[in-house]
Amino acid sequence: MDFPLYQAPYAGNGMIIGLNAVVHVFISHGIAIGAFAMLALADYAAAGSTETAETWDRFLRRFLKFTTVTVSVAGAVTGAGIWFTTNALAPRGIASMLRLFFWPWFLEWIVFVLEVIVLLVYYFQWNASRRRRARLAGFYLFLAFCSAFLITGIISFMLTAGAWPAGRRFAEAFFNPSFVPQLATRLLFALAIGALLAIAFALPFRSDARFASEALRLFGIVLLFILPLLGIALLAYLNAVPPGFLTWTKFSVLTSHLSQHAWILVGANLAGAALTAAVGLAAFRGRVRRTAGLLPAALVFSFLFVTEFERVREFIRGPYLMPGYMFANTMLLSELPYLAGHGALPTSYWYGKARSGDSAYAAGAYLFGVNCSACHTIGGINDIRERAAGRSEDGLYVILTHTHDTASFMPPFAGSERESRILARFLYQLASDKVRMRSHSRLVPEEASK
Amino acid sequence: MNAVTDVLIGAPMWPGVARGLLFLVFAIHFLFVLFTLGTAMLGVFYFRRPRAEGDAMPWDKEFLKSFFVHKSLAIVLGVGAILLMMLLNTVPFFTAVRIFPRAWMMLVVLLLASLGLLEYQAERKGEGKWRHLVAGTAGLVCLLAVPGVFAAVVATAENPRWWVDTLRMRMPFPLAVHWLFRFLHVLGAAAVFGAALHYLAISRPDLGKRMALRNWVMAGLAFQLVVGVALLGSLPRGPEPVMLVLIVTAVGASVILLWILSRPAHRLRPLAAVMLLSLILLPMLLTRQLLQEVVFVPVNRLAAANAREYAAVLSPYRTPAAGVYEINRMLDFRRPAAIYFRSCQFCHGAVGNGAGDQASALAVPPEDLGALRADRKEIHRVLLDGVDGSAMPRFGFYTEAEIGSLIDLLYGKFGMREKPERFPREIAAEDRLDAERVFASTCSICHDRGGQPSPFARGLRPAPPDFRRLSFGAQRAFDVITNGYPGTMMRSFAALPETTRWALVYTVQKIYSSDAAR
Repeated sequence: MDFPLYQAPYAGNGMIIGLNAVVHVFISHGIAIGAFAMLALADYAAAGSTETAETWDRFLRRFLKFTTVTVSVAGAVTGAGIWFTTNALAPRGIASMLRLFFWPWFLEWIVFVLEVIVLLVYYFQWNASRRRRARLAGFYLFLAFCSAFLITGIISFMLTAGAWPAGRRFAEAFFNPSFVPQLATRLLFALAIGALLAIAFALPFRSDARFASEALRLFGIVLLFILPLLGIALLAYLNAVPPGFLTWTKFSVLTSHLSQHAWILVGANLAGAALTAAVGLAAFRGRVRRTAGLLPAALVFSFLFVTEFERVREFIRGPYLMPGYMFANTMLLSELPYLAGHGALPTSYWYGKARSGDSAYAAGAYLFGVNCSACHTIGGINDIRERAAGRSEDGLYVILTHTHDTASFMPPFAGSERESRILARFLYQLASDKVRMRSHSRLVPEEASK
Repeated sequence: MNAVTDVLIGAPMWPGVARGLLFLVFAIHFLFVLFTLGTAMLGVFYFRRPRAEGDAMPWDKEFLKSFFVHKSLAIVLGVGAILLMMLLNTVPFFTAVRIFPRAWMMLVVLLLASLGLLEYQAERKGEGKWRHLVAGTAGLVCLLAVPGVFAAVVATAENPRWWVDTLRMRMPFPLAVHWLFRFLHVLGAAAVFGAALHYLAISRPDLGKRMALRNWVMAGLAFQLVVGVALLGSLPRGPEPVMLVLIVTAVGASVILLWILSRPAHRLRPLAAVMLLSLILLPMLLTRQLLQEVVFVPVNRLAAANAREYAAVLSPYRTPAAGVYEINRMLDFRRPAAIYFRSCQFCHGAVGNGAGDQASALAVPPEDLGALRADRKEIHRVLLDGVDGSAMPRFGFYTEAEIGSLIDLLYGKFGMREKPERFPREIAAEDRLDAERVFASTCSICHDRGGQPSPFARGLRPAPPDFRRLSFGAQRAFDVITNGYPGTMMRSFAALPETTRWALVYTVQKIYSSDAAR
């Protein structure tokens, strides 16, 4: 409420942040860490063979080029994109997070700069001695690990805050209960994706049968070794999540369309895991054609898995952006009693400042913007008109004043009693199609027709 | 700026240190931005130039060879500048971003498109020249748009008095003019610094390229001097004396550089070039930051004071809030009692009789759960669909298993039943006939004889229940017939003889029983 209202129309704010972030996670984990680790491993492992050395070299060069270009273009831009999207869509949230975690983020930035420099040196000095390459790769992987360590501390805080809500000490926030298992999970699925990508880049060189069997065997072993560990890490991670959040795991992925069919989720994940294991096994046993046949589906699954992992993490922390301190709509927990007394509109600097607030529903639309628009759109994804449809106006009022009770992943209403009636009226009229929006992005309604 | 505002968590760094760091990080970032933009300009500009004798590779390719490094560093270094900007100038920065949120997020698309296209351009092999020219030009346009967005956001952040106007899609004319010159000044600087970089990077005595790049630097410097005057004139506030000294220094260095380059047999030594270019860049960037701070420092102070004041107001509520969080965290919704406690109780009450805290706020009262007679399937449906025209929400966010356990609880603890209990009294045959007659003449307007809502009543919200699937216990049904159902079309039929009303209850229940038995 300190900044002008804005919502990404139709897609919704969460979807925009999520789309960019998922692409970034796939690259920063799967390629910057995973694929690069496979590259270094292959460079090291290929040292012995002489007959296939030439093919190994061609494979490594192409894989290196892909890794470096993807990381330094798409990885870096989507990484900056996390700031661009959150700056624009959750300013108060990201500003508060930044103040709590400035130093890890700043340190991570320094590590990130070094990481890119080392990557560029590695890329341009590929023709230097293998020992030098190995040293650079080792340094790069160390930096990549530091980067993952720092960021996971921040992200895992958003899910399990540990003792921070009461103590408010930095160490309590950073070294929280889900930190270690989440870091392990991320590193392991990074390596698994890296192994899948390495197989994908080795397959085009299969005309050298000797190389193909060496390479597939190597990456197959890695994949088969990692998958059970990943399973254990995932269980440890889920175990660290408090029960009140864990409940929403299934709903977060299945949404209200499929929430009554939980088996779909379990089945799809098991099938994906089996598929990935099958790729590992086929590669390990040198079955080139079978590996090639299964690989595309496994790669698609790995991307979906990353999406699912992040979606679940973001959703089940439910009403909180900063646990025990700030709700997902960037209202503070401690602010609600104050706003209940003073009202959200009178204490807002920006209310009425966007174009014309003369519509009868301007206040309702603004309250919707402040309270609901972090998750709900009007006419798009998670459409509030669909959610409110059919409920009576007094029913909406009661639900509004108990959002956090009705569905505990929703934040409570922030504002006065009178304001909750204004919002209920707006939602009722909106759901009955009696009011339309002039600006979806600034949440300004059209003038009411009598 | 008088309303309560800003972030309540204190900044983890003394502002003076943050300002110094911001200057340093931004200066390095901006240098690589200039290299990136300048390299892209040169690479695309020299695209059609035929390869001259003695060229190792075409000029454009040679320039773009280094693009990969410059752009990588420009991006990663920029993140540091944004971090410090967010921390130090929270309110002005985020307000400006929120005024231009689309453009700000569009940076992701612009950067991906431009870097992808220019990388493609750098990698190109001989054929398809026109295709490559189009790709290069498109990439360059996207790339040059990036500083345009940054200039707009920063210029807006620096001018709080125009925030509201700009938000209303009317960027005030002076701000627009200022933005334009600022943007052009960045592009001119990119030409100067990009060309200078490649000028200094020429290793062999390549006179043709040296002269071409010299011309770029000179034209760029001349352009900068002209645009610089305009930019100075467009400043919303006049510069202070310190800034004038800095500007004069940079202009002096530019003139010296121009003079050296303009001599016929010039020989610019790398050290002299770096010193002169630093004397241009650093004073200009310092001026930029000082101009910014004239506005930002007071705004930041006010915001910090507001935040302190607000934090003091909120401090009594802090501990209770932490307690609420703790409860919420530990609720285990695998236990149906937890679901009922959170999602149902505020309307249906602790004992399920419909007397929750909010019941009095509702025109259609919450139902007495113990009086409901319905099978699992029907209850599941109601829980998923809610009841239109009432407050009853849709609970599809619970899984099938959770809803199943909640239904068990409703049947067990709250006395809801699947089968109706034994009818509590005898109904005389003539009362049954009476009831049939009343049902046919009156009830059937809304309730079909078969128990489903009549075609007319299907449009009502709430619609009448389908008696084949859902009914009430006898006493509750009698009460509804006698008193009506508030908030619905069901009115009181207290005027009917009591025996007829009981017979009607019997009729309705028979519909449910026979259907349930089937």
